Amino acid sequence: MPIKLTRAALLLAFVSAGACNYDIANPNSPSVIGENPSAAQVGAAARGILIATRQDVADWALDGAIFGREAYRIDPADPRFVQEMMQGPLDPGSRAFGGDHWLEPYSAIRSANDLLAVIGTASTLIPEQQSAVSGFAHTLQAYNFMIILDSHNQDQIPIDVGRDAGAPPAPFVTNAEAWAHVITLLDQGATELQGAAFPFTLPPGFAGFDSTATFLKFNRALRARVAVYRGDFTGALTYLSQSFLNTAAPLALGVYMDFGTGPGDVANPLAVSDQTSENFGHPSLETQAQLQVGGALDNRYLTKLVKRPPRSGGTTDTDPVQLLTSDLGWVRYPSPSTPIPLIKNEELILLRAEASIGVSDFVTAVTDINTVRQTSGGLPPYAGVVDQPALLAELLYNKRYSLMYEGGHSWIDYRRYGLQASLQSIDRPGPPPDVIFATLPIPLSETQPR
Amino acid sequence: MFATQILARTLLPGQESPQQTTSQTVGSRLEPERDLGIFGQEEVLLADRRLLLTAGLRADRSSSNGNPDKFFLYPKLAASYRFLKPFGGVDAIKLRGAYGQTGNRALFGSKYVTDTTGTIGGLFGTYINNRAGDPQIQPERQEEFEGGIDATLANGRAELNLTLYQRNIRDLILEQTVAPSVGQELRVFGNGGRLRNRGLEASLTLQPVQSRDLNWIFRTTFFANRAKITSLNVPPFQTGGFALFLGTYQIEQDSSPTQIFGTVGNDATGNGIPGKVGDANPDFQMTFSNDIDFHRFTLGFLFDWKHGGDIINLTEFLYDNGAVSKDYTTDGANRFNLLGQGFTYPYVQDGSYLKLREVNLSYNLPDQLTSSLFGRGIRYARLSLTGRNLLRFTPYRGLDPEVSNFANQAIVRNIDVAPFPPSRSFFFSIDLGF
Repeated sequence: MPIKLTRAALLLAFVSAGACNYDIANPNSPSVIGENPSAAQVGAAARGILIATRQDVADWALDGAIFGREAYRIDPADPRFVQEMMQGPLDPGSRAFGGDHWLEPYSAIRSANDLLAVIGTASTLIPEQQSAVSGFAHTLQAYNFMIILDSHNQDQIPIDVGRDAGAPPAPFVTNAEAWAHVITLLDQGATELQGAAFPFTLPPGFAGFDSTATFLKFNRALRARVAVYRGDFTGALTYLSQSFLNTAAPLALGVYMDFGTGPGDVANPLAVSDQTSENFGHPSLETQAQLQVGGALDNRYLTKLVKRPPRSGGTTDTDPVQLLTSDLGWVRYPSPSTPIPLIKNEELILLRAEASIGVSDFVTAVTDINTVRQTSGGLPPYAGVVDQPALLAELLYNKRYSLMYEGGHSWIDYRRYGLQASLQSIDRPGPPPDVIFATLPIPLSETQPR
Repeated sequence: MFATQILARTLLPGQESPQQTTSQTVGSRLEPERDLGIFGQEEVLLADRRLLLTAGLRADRSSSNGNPDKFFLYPKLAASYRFLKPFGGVDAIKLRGAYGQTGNRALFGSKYVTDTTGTIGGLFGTYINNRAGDPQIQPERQEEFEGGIDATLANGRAELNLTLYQRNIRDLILEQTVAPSVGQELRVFGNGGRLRNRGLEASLTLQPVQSRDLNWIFRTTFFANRAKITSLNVPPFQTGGFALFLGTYQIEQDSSPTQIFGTVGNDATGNGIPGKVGDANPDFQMTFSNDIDFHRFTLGFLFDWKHGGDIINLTEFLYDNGAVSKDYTTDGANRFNLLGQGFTYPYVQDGSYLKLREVNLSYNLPDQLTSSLFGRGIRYARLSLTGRNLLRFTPYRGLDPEVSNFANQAIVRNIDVAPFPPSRSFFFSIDLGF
């Protein structure tokens, strides 16, 4: 039997095999911060927590403003800003809408945990510096947990952050336990911030709050906000006295999240055209604004919003009369490098007014409300009834106008007092009617792996 | 070398250089990889050249693997036997069988666990990367069994090929959406499960007319594939798309990897209930091509037929939302209301089509005319007219059922969000042979 053997090429493609290194490091990104980090690595990781936090700050300001009826986003290319956010249902599977304000804050908390895990091994830092870094990280973790809890105020959330991505997810704890965790983080941070200076430089938004002593005042300001949100008004007054609250200082004094157009930086996404962009002011901000002496509208309205060509949006109803419409454009963030406040003096004064109402100290409450009314709004002093419901309504009005478009304040504040319905004067009656949601759902990506 | 891209803002009018801008951001990325493959193969022809046996072995190592020193071995075996004139009208029949393994190595970067970087206020910072790598990652191993028959009939005027295959992919490399409370969104990991593909490929070539003046060749092919994730080492997860209620893909055990998930109504609290609403995988695909030579003319045309395969039509969703779809008053408003009640299905639509893909008519100029027109150096001249994408029959309501806004990714194809439609094109060409 004839056998033909075809000897195919036996290809040995050794290209000087001995000289080849197959263990190639990733040249595009640094590895996760490891043991014994240098001072430069610690500084980069500390500022990295801020950059990770920034991922959600502008988004939260916009979404919170939509939920709190400070803003519309009428975007023909994505109707969910109207449809899902104002009428629902909120989709827990939608990363940028119903499922938002979850991943980004957790990414910041995780980044902080990665730094906290190794800060004790940083041999080039003295223990007081290590402690200052921990205080910084814990404070920002608390801030990020507050975004999660403010947007998910009826949900259970995980607080054990930073498990391996392949491991089973962390357990949920109750909303109250999560708030207790925020308080623990802030108080632990405050203790850690007693010592030496930060071994790194902070960005310009922290000007005046970049030493441990002044950063501690930021920490206490957040602690005061938590106390007011949790109804601990006596405690809030104590924490406010330890914060940077100062009625003699500019109301804008505070801690800001920086944006910029420099290399590698992120422009403020809310700095868009006040005449042609998709972002609109809510018409109620005009109709509900109080009058200055002389008849002009509240100066806070006048400085943050302008008239623009109207646009309508949302088409659940075929009756065009029921569509929402706005002719207000935002000038709150005029430039791509305008920062967004994390907390500012104006809010602290109003938090003291709120805590004072809570402990029935109406004199302090009226004084503080008037400081903001007159300085910020150009309004005459408060002349209404001095009792708890009336002062509360006046306080909420001032928080709305002082803090509009800065982080969901109307939504949170009116919700805490069960007054959300008063925000919804001129949306679409439906059917089905627009609603102001109490909470966002837990994202599907969080519940599904369980 | 690093590949570099420059993002520049606020270019001065009339300028083109990124240097003439107020700010510049440099992006660059380098993906170094080093692979080594060793391959050996032996072929044996036996039994009066009727039996062909092939055996081969391949060994691969790669810097993309978690263990860059390890060689992964992939064997293959194949056999075929030819029967010459087994019975009347049949010229030859070949039976084929093959088994082989191959490796799909991980994409660059899958093994790294890294931070990412950013700038705030002109200061540098590092924070956790959105995507977690797998330091232990290994290549996927694909094992394929294939059997087939090739037959030549009627003195070469008909040819039939039939192939059945099963491909089992082990150690799937998957990108999973993780619980975001770990601080990351995605996780790449190896050893993720198993995927099974079963399919049938057939082709038939006929020459119904074969004469001096007229020659007609007709070819048809048939292709069908069914995929199923036979095991998954992680809980089910969703990938691709914009949101569950707008349609997304769900990866879960004992299901097709291309199944489309949406909401199938709302629960009592107004949240959508997830459920299967379609599958992007077609039932089958066929092509029909004809080449007809008549004297100096050649006519060719090709039909493509795809049956089944769903598309998430978000273009129509956007039109409905704007109340500008052409059937808004009759159906559009209804579709949109159904979506509002938590039903995704109105926007998951059948992507079947029959397309006249191409028609080509050409004419070879007579030699005398060629040389008088172009000179003696020209051997031949041919004029041809070609039209592409000429006719389309489809129940799909979007611009074109062949759509993918997210390039040709394995899983998240078939999402239609106001894409640029394929063009219809015509070509007139003159070919000269020297």
